[in-house]
Amino acid sequence: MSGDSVRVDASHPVSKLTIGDGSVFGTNDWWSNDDWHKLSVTGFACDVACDAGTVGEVAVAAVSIRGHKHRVDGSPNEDSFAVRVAKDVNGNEYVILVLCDGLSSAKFSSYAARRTSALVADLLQRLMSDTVFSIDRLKDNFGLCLTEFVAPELIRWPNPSGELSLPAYGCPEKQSSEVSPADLLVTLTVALVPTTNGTKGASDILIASIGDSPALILTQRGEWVRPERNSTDDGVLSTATAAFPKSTDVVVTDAVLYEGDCLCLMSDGVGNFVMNKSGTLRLGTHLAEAWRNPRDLPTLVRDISFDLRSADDDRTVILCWTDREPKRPETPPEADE
Amino acid sequence: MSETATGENILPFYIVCDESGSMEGIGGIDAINSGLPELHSTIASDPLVSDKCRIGLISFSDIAEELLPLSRATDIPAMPGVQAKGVTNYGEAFNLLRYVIDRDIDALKQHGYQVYRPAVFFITDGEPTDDQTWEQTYRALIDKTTYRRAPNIIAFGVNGANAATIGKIGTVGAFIASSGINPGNALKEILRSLTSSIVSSSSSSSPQLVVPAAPDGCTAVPLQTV
Repeated sequence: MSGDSVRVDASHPVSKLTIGDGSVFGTNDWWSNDDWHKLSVTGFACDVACDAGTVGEVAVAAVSIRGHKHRVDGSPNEDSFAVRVAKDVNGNEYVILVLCDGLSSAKFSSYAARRTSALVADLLQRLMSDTVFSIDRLKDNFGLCLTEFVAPELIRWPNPSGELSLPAYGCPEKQSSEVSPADLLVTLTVALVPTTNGTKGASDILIASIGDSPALILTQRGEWVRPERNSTDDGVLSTATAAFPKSTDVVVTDAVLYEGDCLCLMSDGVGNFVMNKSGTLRLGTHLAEAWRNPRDLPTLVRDISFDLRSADDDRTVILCWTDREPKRPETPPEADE
Repeated sequence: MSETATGENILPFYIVCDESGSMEGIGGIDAINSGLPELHSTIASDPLVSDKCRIGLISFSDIAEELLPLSRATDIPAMPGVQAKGVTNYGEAFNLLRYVIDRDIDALKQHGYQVYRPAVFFITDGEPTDDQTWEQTYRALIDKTTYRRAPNIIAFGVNGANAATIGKIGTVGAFIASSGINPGNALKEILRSLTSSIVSSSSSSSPQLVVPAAPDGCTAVPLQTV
């Protein structure tokens, strides 16, 4: 065996990203005696979850990390994501991106986020293989599909029977009939993205959402754009949000993704610090540069583990780059005359 | 907005405390002055709460005074104390509160902070002495249709406070000390309850004012419209 077979690339450290002054929480290592980073008693802590891969011309990476609040409490991450690939009967291939953020007021929101994201992704994958599927039909019936196919499954799990009955995959340890839908509330953000760029490098994408987890486009010029409808400034920040399954009022948005753009679905644990109603924030400026090109997973985890005072919620992003090997100029191109 | 805005989230809490002369005799001033440092220490030692909440202290009697401008707990070297004097002018407190809320939210937003609806803990031991005017000032403060930054208010009354008046002032919660309970002890419990409300409200990843259970020796009173 060679004597130098173990090497550390010192040029590639996973360093800490601090925005502003940094948080009090961020001053401690997770193993410190303060016990600010407790194991989840119920399991499914999901301190870090990642998926990454390519399909067609796109590269997709998803990262979720448990927020400070849930580490201090010893409770699980209440965000979740699901990524699938599907082809319609005409051979058009799509990547399905689903992000759910469980409401902290909902008792079983961690389970609900995991279950809902998987159910919605599976449903879309199945619907797309149907001969009558079309994007337009989906747009018109998204809420109905959630009501008919996802909501009933979300509140169904094997009921405990007998003393040693074990809960299935982290589902509530109660009869499903005893759990209120209010205990399973999640935000839901979905995107369908063609895996090949359309003519002139533009692709029509579909974004559907219930609640406040944003879908942003990071353009090839390094600007954040929010294609979804925007609310007006009401003077103070609000925590109120629509949530599934209580609401199936899906906001469907058509958007165009240009070659070189990156679609970013985010839970508000990230999105609130990327941009607000006044514009791009300091984290957003940093990430706009960092995410212009696909990035390796440890660095993405580092990006999402940013230390910013008051940012204590769970954090999840799904990034979809439309150009796996972008060849962008160093400075943004001049606008057409 | 500042070019270096981080979008940090802030949940502002204002403690509005009666320091009229009657507070002295019931042991209220001592109870408040010994409770505030405990509140400060609890908040400053919590990593999530200290990052997210800001505390301000306003006292009122003949006039209202800002004893502690809205501050991060870890930046406060020691909590100021209240001092018994004068009568119980509620209107002075509500007037100053509105001015302070506007000034603070403007300043926080200017620095790129994102600010949640302010929360106010209102503590009194008596009926208002400005009986004719306080309601108008109060209405201007809490009407969300005309004032977008209207705070959520939890009101506490001890000793000579009237349950119906306390029920009018609280917008999300109102509590009155039971008769026969030592007012000083009731105020100690109220400060503990108030601390627990600040901790629960700020440590949620979706901050919102958590109305505490009735402090020991107090009962909840129904909220009334003014």
